[in-house]
Amino acid sequence: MKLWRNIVVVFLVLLAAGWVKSPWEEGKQRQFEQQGLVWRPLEPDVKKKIGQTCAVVALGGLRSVVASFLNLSAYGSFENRDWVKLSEKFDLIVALQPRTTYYWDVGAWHMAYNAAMDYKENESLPAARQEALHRAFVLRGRSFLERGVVNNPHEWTLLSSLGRFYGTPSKYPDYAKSAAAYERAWKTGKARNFEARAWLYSLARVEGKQREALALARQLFVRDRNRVDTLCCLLFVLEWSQPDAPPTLELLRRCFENESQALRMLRTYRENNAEMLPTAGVEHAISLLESRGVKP
Amino acid sequence: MGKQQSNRWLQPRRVSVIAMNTFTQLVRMKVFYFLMIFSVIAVVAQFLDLPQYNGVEAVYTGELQILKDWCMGVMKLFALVFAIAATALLLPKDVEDRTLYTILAKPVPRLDYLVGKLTGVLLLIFVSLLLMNVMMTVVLGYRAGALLDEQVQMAVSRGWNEPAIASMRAEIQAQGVTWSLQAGVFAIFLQACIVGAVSMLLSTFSTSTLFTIMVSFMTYLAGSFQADAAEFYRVYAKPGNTTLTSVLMKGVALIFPNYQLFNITDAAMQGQVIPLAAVMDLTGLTAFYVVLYTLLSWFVFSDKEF
Repeated sequence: MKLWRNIVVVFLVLLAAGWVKSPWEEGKQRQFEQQGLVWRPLEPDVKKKIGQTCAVVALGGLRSVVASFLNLSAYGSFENRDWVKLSEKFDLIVALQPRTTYYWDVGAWHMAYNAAMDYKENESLPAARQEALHRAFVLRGRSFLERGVVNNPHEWTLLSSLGRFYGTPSKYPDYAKSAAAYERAWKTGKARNFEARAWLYSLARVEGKQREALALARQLFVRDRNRVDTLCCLLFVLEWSQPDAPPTLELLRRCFENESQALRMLRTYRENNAEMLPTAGVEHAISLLESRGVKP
Repeated sequence: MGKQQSNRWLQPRRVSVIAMNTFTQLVRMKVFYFLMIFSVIAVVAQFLDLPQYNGVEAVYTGELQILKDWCMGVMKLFALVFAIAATALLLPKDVEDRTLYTILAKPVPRLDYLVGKLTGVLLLIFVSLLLMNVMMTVVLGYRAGALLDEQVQMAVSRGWNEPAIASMRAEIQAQGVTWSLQAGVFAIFLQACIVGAVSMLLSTFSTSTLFTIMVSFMTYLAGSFQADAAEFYRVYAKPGNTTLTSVLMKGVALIFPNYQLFNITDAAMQGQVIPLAAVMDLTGLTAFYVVLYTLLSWFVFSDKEF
């Protein structure tokens, strides 16, 4: 009897204390969520997919541990080349740890590069199937990374990866999106000069954006540390493509330190152009320099 | 007068004697062996170098992330399991050893006994977490330092400019040893305090250790789900739409503590800055719960007959 009386009293006191603390606690929950200190609860389908045991563990505040285990387990799928399972695991991992950019980056890389290339080179599949699966996984990796960017809009590393994914010629490129991603990465103020140059390289490949690309190239060229081979050559190409462009020799003097350097850089640019950057005027400039007896 | 003085509640000396006694009792149960397992995990985790995109311009901090995930996960698991199991064992063990009768036969208020016991358990959790934290900090600091050197060397060889190197340095340092990470460990301890206090309350009702442990785990899970329950009630319990489920959810939200707030540990592990105000909020919340559950435990325990 006394036990039941005690239970009732304790229950009532807990309820009363609950009324007092509940509004404060709910307010803190919302505040912490807004500050990004805690995350929204797991979606029911995620709980279902990670299985009962893991869901209990994840629910119990051990989401990072479950994500770590799944990451190790995804490594097994990578070794077995079980790409469908691997991408499913990464979907769960990022559902558990949406703010860990590492998981988004690695997951997308596995899908768009490792899985896609594995299918492309899988000779046991018919050619059409190889290509279809390659494309499917490139797109899957890309959309995975886009989700990562939506979840972490200020992470320049993810934006930079997205720019790379969209800007790789062998990965069904969309240079406009690549340029936009690199631009966002650069404008976070945390990225390296590489992101600014990569923004230019993508912009230069977008149809109808040559003038914008030229303005950006001029802006970047002002700083000595941006004067890498590709940028100098691209600046020359963009300048040369303008209707009111000055004579070629004048342009070469503006874009390179000397004619010898110009010949060396332009030859390399022409021969190693895997990125498929514009090459207007390069052949002409090389011929002109060679006809002047310039040695690289 | 002297007798009244000695019977005063919560006399610090008396409480500390009981606490130290409990601490020693638990240490004799070879709890610290767990630290050996932890050190193995901390050492092994740094070799889990999984494949990753490591291109020319990549800044890779994944290995630090994995190391922290493992170490903090194990700390949390230890604190949780220990807070429940050790507290659930306290009263039954004292009854079994007949120590309880000896103590209560003396002028020791039952409140002092309970507070001393709980303090002993929490002290042990604190010391264990402190030691694990030191181990993690050493390993993480070493790995972060090595990674930083490696990446700076690479950046310099590739001609990165100073702001770019500084940005990379900041990124790696944010994944290394930070004050926020320490705040994350402290949040684990605070959560363990509440879990321990709940477990103590349950053990004053129950006569079975197993029952206390099981119900404590259930309440922990319910507490982790408390925020979902509160949200469910907020969304569905509109006027005229109150269902049995929404009332139940409200009950869950009222009775159980919200453990999700303590998941700031995850944010700390990802290199996010934890504001001091958030830590203070959690400390205040923990104090509220610990005092509440201790007083309730005392209420039940005060007229318990042995």
